[in-house]
Parts: sequence; C-alpha cells; structure tokens
Amino acid sequence: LDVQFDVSAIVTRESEPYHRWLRASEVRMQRCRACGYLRPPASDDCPECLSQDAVWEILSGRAKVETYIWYFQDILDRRFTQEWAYRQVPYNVALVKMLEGPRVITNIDNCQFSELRVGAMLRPLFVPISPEFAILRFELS
Amino acid sequence: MRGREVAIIGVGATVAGTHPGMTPDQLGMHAFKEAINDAGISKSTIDGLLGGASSGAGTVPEKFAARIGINPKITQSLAYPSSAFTLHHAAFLIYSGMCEVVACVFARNPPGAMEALSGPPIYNAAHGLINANAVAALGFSQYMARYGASEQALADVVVAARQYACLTPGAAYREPLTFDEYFAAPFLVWPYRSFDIAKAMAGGVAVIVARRSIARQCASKPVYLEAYGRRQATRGWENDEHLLCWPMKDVAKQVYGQSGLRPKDIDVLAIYDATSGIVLQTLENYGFCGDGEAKDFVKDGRIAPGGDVALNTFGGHLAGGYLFGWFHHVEIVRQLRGVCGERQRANARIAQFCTTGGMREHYASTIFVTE
Repeated sequence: LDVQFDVSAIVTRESEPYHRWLRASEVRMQRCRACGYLRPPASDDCPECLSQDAVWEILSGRAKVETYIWYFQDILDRRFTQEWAYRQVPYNVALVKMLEGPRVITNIDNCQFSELRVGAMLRPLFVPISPEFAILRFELS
Repeated sequence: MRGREVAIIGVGATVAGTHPGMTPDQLGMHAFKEAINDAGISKSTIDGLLGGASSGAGTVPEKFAARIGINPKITQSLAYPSSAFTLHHAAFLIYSGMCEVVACVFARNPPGAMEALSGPPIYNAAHGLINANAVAALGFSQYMARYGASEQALADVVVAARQYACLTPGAAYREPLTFDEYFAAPFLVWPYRSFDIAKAMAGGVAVIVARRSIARQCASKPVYLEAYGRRQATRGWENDEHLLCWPMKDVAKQVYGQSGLRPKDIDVLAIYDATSGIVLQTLENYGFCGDGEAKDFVKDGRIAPGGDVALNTFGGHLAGGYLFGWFHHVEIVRQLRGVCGERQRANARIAQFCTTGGMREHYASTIFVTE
C-alpha cells in the first residue's frame, strides 16, 4: 500500500459488499431484480423503481475513460483542514464508464500524463485497503 | 410566477478579500446597514430573514435577527445556501403572501481567506478527489477533449476578470495579470492553474427584496426579478453529459421561455465562476454561443472591459470577490442602476445571473430588469 487508507471513510454500510467483492478481485454492482437497472452507487434502493430487491451481478471490469484530471500539487492545505490526502502527486483522478453502463470515479495507475486520453480502454486493478476490503482502480489495456 | 412582482430594493457589501479579526456577524451588520439605507426602509418592515449558516462560517439567521433587533415571521437558511437559491427562496416567500420584505444576509470569514481554495476539501477519499473545484476541472477536461478548446480560453476568462477587478473599488485582486504570467504558473489540478480557481474569501453582502408595491416607493431604483430557472441534477453522473453541465440548457429554456428574452437581449451577464472553465460551459449551454464555440466567443478581449460582452463586470469570483455569488448580485443591481463608473455598461437594462454548484448538481438562473 502506498498510503494509509481510512477504511471507515470509504466503506459504508451500503457499499460494504462492493468493497468485499473487490477484495476477491471481482467487480460486482447491484442489478435490480424488479426492473433490471444496474446501479452504482451502492444503495438499499433502486432509484428507478424503488425496489429493495437486488442481486450483486459480476461485471466485465472493462471500462472507458470519460474524463480525467492530474493533480500536480498537493492542494489539501493542512493549515486549513484536519483531513488528509491519500495519494502522492502527480496522480490522476478519472471518471470512467464501465462497459455495462455505470460510471465510477477512480484512478488510472501505471500511466504517465502523456499516455492518458479521453476514450482510452481500461482493465481493472483491485487495490486492497484492509484484509476485508479493496477499492477499484484501472490501468490502460 | 409572473415577472416583476418582486424586486431587489437595497444592497450592501463589505470589500472582498480579508477581514482579519472580524466575525461574520460584524461583516453582515456592515452590509445590512448599508442595504437598508440604500433601500430607505426601516428594519422593522423586514418580515423575513434568510442567511447561509450551513457553510460553517456564515451568519445564522435566527441569531442575526436578534442582533438587528427584529422579530420577523421567517428566519431560515437553505441546505445549499448559495446566492440565487436563497434569493429565489426570498421571492417565493413574497409570492406566497407570507412575507413583504425579505433580507438576505450572507457573510463569512473562513480560515485562509485569499489563500485557501474555495469549496469543500474532500469529495472522494478513496481516490483522492480533493476540492470541489476539481470536479469542475474534470468537466473542463471532458469539454476540451470534446470540442478542442485549449488553455488559452481559460486565460482569456482569467485575464478579463482581473481587468474588471482593477476597475472595481473593493475588489479582492486589484493588480493586473498578463497572459505571460498566467501561462508561467504551474498546473495545480490539470487543466487548471491556481488562477483558474476562486479562493476562499471574507466579506459580507446584504440584499433586500420586497413586493412590487413596496419597491416602487423605495429610495433607490428597484431591480425586478423577471424570470426564474432551476434544476437539481441530483443523480449526478448517472445522467449522461453531467460534467458538461447540460442541465443548464433546461434552465435556459425556463428563463427565456418565461421572459420572452434571448441571450442577445442580455446587457449584463453574471456567471458563478468558482472556476474559469465553467464560464465557457455556461456561455454555450445558455445559448450565448453554440456548443464548442465559447473559445472564440471569449477571445481577443471580447469579455474584457470595452469588449462586446459585459460579463462579471466586477471581476467575478476569480478576481472581484468570492461570496457564493452574492457580490455578483450587488454588481447586477449597481449596473442596472447605472452607478458603476468606468466599468459601467452603457444603457444596461436587462441582466442575467447563471449559477452551478456542488458536484454540478445545483443549477439556477435569474433574469433581472428595470422598469
């Protein structure tokens, strides 16, 4: 681990299965059994039909970059906040669209500034944050 | 809601920037006294007081009402208390018949004024999405890739804002900025440099609104609310093109539909510029130019003093003063009253405010007119 993760700030009651499946190297999201809507973020409730009945469906893990930014300076000014950063600069943050449709905020690892492009295809990386949980990052495929 | 039933009758403001040792209530009091004097009303006529306490550094309406010695019918702050949303709420209270005169008082003195970036610090802890304005940067990165815009368009916005701030007494940044200085700055969060992101600031603004029958008897020229547009895109990036801020296109239909006005009719435009890039997206989504055309719309000084388009004529959040869009409203009123000196837009009669907030889920716009 390159940083210390505050698991309690990342894993919520509703997202706990998501992060547990990621620790087992599987990308799973909830598909509503009533209307078929595939959702993130993890939620008790389907925002389309309001059903609580959902199954954690396995996804391909493949995704495409919709947009990204690069942090070149650590902008979390510790004079003014007690909170703490999680990455060493430079690092990117990207919004990616899974092949199956949902979008997630993530990082594209193992990649330089000049290599990252909108539209780039991605494969998943499963990054452990504790013995039980992981988060989803990607790399260029 | 019919237009011209509610008007801004008075405005007051502190200077923008730093106010060492001053409390939000002290800043709010300064602005409030100026606003009631501007309107020429007695404070006892105020039957609604709105504020912005949820930012953690603002005035609490219930307490501020006691400080100014009134017992209004309503004291309230919104969960998202930025300017247009609060001003609309004041108008709703008047349309409903509950209130006749509503004061909106917003003041704050956050730590790190003029140094810290504006906006909440952490948006996604797991992936390091730090600072609200990084979400706007994500949107502008997507916009650049879609339309081939470059950093030059951002520089055009930033430099013009500085030029207007130099003409505005009380503005936060009153030193000129050259294009060379802009491009020499390092990237903070690519594609944004520090210049592209508004800084947290101290200051206070009071805006008093009243029903039409009262507005016509006030000391200063009333500025009427002509049309209101709103959208809450709460599902975020579950919606396609969320970061391109396309919900603005819907808000534009509302305000232009209600008023019968068009972008070409707007004499003075004020855009909630927490970052430079949102100015370009706003110009396009409201139809001031076509999709992808904003880079040409802003070039060659067209939005700078003396240019064709009067945009954020006090310097906006980027250079004039960051206070959740409240200084924008003070400027709109002063422009429509024709008291802005060398930065005054000739024959300004119609103004529009357009705002975006949060993770790009809050949208509002207002059109203002004089009689």
